[in-house]
Amino acid sequence: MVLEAFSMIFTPVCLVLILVGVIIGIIFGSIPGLSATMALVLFLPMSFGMDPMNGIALLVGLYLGGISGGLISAILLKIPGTPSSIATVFDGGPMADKGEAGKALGVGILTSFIGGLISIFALMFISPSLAKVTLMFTSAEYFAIAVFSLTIIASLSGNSMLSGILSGFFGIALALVGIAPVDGVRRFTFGQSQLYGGFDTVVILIGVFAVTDIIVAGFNRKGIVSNAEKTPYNLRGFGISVKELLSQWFNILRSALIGLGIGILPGIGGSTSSLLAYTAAKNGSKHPEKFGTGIVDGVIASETANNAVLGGSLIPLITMGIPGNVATAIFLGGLTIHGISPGPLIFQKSGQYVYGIFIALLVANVFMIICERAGLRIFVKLLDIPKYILLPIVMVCCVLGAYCANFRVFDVWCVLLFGLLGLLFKTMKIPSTPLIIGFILGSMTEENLRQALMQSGGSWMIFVTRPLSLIFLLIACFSVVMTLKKRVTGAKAN
Amino acid sequence: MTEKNKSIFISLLFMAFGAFVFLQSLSINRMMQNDVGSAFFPKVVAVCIIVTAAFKLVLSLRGAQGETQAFKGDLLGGWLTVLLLAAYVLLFNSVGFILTTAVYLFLQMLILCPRELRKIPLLTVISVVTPLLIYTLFVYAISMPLPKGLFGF
Repeated sequence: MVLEAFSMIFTPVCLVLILVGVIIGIIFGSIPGLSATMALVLFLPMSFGMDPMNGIALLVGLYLGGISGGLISAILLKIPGTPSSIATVFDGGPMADKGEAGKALGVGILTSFIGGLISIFALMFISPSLAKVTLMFTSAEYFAIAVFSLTIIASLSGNSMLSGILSGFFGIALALVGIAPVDGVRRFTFGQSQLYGGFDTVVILIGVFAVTDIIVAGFNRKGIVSNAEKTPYNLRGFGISVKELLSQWFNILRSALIGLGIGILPGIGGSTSSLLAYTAAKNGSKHPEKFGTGIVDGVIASETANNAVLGGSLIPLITMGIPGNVATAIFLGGLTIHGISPGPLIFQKSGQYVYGIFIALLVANVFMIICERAGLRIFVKLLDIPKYILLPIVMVCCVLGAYCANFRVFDVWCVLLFGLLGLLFKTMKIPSTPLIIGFILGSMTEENLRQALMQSGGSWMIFVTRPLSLIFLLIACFSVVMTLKKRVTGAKAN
Repeated sequence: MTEKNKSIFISLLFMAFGAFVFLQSLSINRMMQNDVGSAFFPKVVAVCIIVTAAFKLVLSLRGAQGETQAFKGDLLGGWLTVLLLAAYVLLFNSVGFILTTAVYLFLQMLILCPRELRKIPLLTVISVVTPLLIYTLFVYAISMPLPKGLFGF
């Protein structure tokens, strides 16, 4: 079966399709507002008409490319191309400011490759046993993970923890808008049918990051010109020595495992994984104060983790037929159309296609690193375009991304409103990243809290009597206490 | 505004927001017997916001006044950008993607570009070519419809 899979993938047509998929995926991933999901949606109908393996290979290329492209805009424009690259902005952006854009990109690309590779190997060799782990996670555990992930707000709030927490709660409040989970009640819609579906993550992300940026540029017109000096660019290999890379082995491994773990659990997503990996790297580092000032550790953590999600998210899909996110749901559609039904019997029924997917993933991962490394020269040139030309064009892409999220102008208005909100936050020195984290995790927290309580008949003991949930809640408490302790000792030292 | 006043203002603003969320959630009915209901979580969030904001308020009232920071930015450039963006979004659907985007790009570049660096022919070419390119790519290459507006193509 493996040989059959090899012979199906290593045909010129299939290889070209993977390559095309990866390139288009990278483009979709790198433009804020366009995502891997959108690329998959667009090309899914096209894959129907193809030979099954070719169609699947194209989708694999698109998915992998789409996830990997986000770092380009995150580092060069400080606007994450996908929500998964939010954490890449924290250190990738400052690195670009210091003239190390090439290095940040090089390292990001290399660690994306490594993260992807680790997760693909996990998918290939240990997926059945990993899939069983998913079944141990009920709503109580998901709630505990959400609470734990929310505690990272405290350590990512910069100097003003209270402002950060308020910003996080505000994000959670934004996630309340629309149809409530569990019982489907309409909340905070104020009679507006446009609000029934709630806000789109892409809309908030574009608003708070990109639109705020361009308005701030308007308020600081002279500043953007003086910053537009040519970026010194000199890069060999991936901008990181083998020694430096090896010194990061633990960071890479930890981030890959976090990404893999989050990927396996349906419904959490890449953005949480990269934020968690970033926080873990920061808290475990000997020099946590350097995080956010442009050190390579942060980029490594975020990019390894978000690509490791990829293999992880395919594990429950292939072994149990459970799609963990929208992208894998579309991927599932692509598989079923070709008569491949994921589930425990897939290895017996369509083994050659499963091995085909594995090999296609490996090939796509190699194509990704080659394309991005080859394109690096061109990407970095972006920084040489004067800001007064680049920013308006980015803005147009953002409006486009917001519009294409649901094909309605309402979302474009929301983007503008969130841009103004971001401006208010900036003038009042409230960090806006917690807002996004709160928004992403808000609905997950509520949904699982309510489901768990229904399961337990209203008893809150469920969260402490289930061991996994208890462990996550204890880690959450521990992380809050440690952050507070660091704050207090830091304040005393000053 | 001084740092202290900023902090007080923000605390009050968030307290008002929390109160608003709480009041709004009072009118949400419980649909299922064994569920905490859709009002429960919003109330928790609202209370958390109010408590955190109150805590911040107390801290900022006790803090030192600090120096007043005069706003040094370029007010005209900022507000023109906001107005232009609003106009762009307003006309986006009715006038169509190509025309509004071309005008938006040109005016936005004009606003951001310092007078001595303005190369009108270059800016014009960019503003015309970009929307045409994006439109062709989206509508014809990946068949994603964009607002046609006044033009019917």
